Amino acid sequence: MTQELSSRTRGAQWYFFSGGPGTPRYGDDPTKHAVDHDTETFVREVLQNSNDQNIDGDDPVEVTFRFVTLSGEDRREFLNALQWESGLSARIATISNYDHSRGYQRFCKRLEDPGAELRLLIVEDRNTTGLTGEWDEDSNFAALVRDELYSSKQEDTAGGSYGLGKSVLWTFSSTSTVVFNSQPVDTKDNQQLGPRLIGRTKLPTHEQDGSTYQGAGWLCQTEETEEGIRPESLWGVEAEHLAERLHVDRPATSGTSAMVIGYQDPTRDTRPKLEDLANEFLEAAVKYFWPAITRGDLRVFVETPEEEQEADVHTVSAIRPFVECYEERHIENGSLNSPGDVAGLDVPMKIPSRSDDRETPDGSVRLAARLASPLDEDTYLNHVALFRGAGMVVKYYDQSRVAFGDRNFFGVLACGEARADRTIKSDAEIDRFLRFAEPPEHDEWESTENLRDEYQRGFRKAIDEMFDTLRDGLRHLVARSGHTNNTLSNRVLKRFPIHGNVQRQNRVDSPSRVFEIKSSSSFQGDHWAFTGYVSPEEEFEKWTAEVSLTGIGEDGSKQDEVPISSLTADSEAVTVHVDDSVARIVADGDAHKVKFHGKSYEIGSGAFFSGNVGETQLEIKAEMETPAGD
Amino acid sequence: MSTESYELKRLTEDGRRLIGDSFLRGEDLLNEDDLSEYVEPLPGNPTADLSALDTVVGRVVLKHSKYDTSMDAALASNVHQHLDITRRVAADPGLWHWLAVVRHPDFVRHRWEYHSEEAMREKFLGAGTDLYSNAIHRLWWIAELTHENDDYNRTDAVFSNQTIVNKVFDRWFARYRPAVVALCDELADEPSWVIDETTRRFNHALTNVQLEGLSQSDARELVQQILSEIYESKE
Repeated sequence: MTQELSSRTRGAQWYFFSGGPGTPRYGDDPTKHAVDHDTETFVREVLQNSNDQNIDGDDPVEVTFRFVTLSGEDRREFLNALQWESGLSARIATISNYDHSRGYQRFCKRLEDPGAELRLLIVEDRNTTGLTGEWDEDSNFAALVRDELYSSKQEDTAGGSYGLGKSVLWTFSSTSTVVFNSQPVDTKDNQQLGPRLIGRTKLPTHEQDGSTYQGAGWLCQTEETEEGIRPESLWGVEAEHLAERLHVDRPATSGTSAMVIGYQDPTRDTRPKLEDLANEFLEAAVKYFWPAITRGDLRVFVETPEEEQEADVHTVSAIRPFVECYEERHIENGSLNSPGDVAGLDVPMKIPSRSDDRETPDGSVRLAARLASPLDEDTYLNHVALFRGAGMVVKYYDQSRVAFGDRNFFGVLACGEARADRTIKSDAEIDRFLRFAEPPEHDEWESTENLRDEYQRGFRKAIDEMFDTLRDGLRHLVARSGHTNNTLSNRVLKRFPIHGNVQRQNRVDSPSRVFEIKSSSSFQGDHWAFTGYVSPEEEFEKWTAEVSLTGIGEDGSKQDEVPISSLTADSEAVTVHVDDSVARIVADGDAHKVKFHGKSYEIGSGAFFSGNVGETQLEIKAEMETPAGD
Repeated sequence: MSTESYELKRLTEDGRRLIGDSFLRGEDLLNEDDLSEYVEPLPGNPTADLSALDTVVGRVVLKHSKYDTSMDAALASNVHQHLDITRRVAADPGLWHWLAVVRHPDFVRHRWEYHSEEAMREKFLGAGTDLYSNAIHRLWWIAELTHENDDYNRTDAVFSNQTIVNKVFDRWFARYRPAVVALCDELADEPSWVIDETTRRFNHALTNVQLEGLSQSDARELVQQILSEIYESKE
């Protein structure tokens, strides 16, 4: 490979790598085709990139989408500052003659019309890290300006991890050209004072003056190094001056302004009005980032020459029910009686060890549902918003099959660092796990190559189980009746052991774990049989466990007790009594783990339609007397 | 019968918040003007013969002493006929809140004695999926689930037996008409303890079979089987 320039330059100019005969040819930027290209995707990907670059601290990430339109003298001034004539115009004219370059043709034609407007979109983020690092490092700067399909994200919880999102900036530029002006965060490693400015174009491979150019070009100053010439940013006053001429100047707060030149939605034939575009941007921001906005982690503004608006989660009626659901997700044992009621529960999650054998803690994610009202907009009725700590909705998951009658709902599954206000170790691990479960589009949680690389076997099962449990949990929340006992079905009991067919209880009603209890029951032709064990986990003088069976109704209401006829325990340190159809185990001394099995009286052979035999709940209430007497 | 159409309204969420204990007790009365700010049209602007409804409610209140349960039977078919609305409209709780709080609070207090704030709040501000709660909603829905075109005989029979009203319509399966019809027909002449036991067992049996998979004859057969079991076990 040879370089076009061989001496050090000052001031900005366009620089392109040229290749000799046999150099691979690019019809267009390959990353452009990796994600969908509608406005919603643009907003989602751009906000995700900014959101991932947040700086630890109290200030939220702020992102402004600023539309600027230039015409007449302003347009001419801008193109001069961009070095259009000397650096890009001839190349783009050449490319526009290629068969696949109709977009470039249209843009050139537009520029020929002196009265035509040039539309710019500047995405300015603040309180983010900005473009740190150098060309030859693994850095933010290199990932955005140098590399393709490469990601340099802040931390394990970041939203993106493929480096694809940034490609939308070029996809939405009629000239595939983006200019960056960045104020890198202040660190001791910074060698120069910001801001830094550099432009990047991603044209197809083209011929110019007898040479073949791959298409990658930079508006930069060049520097000759031992490895050859490399594009360099403009810094400080020089960058500031050019940024002002290019309308991409920014406040001194750390962050990056990315200017998309000739902004256009590639999926549209027409140019929408700026006012309509601004509304689409605001809605898309709320649709995908309401968790981050609600948590105070992100603020989004859209600015047109006429007005500035901030994305407000309460103004998008299709999303408002999810916001209300998330805000009240911690309500325990809530009942969905009236529209607007919210109830939630924890969905347990077990993830496999990491590839390097590091153990991972078991944890849970938070599921909540809000009963829909006829007043709610029904665009996402009976959907569950899935998201994690990055605060971006990965997907609105359709669960219409769970709804029935007029029991419609809006659900949230808040995972990882979005589960609670205070993050525990398992939340961080779940966040990491789900991040690697996202495909390049970040719109699903599924088995991925990244997961295979990062975790041991069992990752697919962990995801499948989470979704299965989500469905069961949702059914339970939605089916719950207002004035019946909140008894869970056996299927749900199995999945939510904390509410399960065992109840851990001590006299002081402490939330600590005092007993380990496991049990199971089954119908044996004409009676119920059950088995299990009770194992105290603290020092004790004495403990008792009361075992009972209760039939439950279709609506989860408790019915009559199913009388227990006998119970035997495997320990000599316990005594067993069956009184009033309830069995009591009383343990003294050394009864550390007591296994038991028992059965009910006969309640009818095959009497499934008599109302005698039906879903039955095994309840175990255990109490302990400790040496301290509490 | 000539009818006059009036637009139906609903009480908003904010309007619900105005309803305090003193209103529920009948000590603090809110008139239509007090609440006008909190009343809005329903989607689709459905209408009903509210004038006829006012007349019949007024007459029933006048003719019955306080807390007389026979008001239900006297009113249910009229409420259903004069509120000729779709189930979709009837599923809007705000409609029933408006009818109870704004249009007919006197009827609600005349029919239901104040025992607790919670219970009375349910009579004014219940509705939605709970058929048994709001005082007017329950009349409409039970009539809706039990009438056959213009024939309200089953509706009248149900309301003349408060045990059936309580035991059938306060349960989840009451949202499924074939089950309701089977239970109401089969239990019409049974004593209270049999109604109690049958509906309890029916609820339990539905953990083995899918309610919505039952045809009316399936449901009837299930009820008959439960009834015969109950009488056999008594012998």
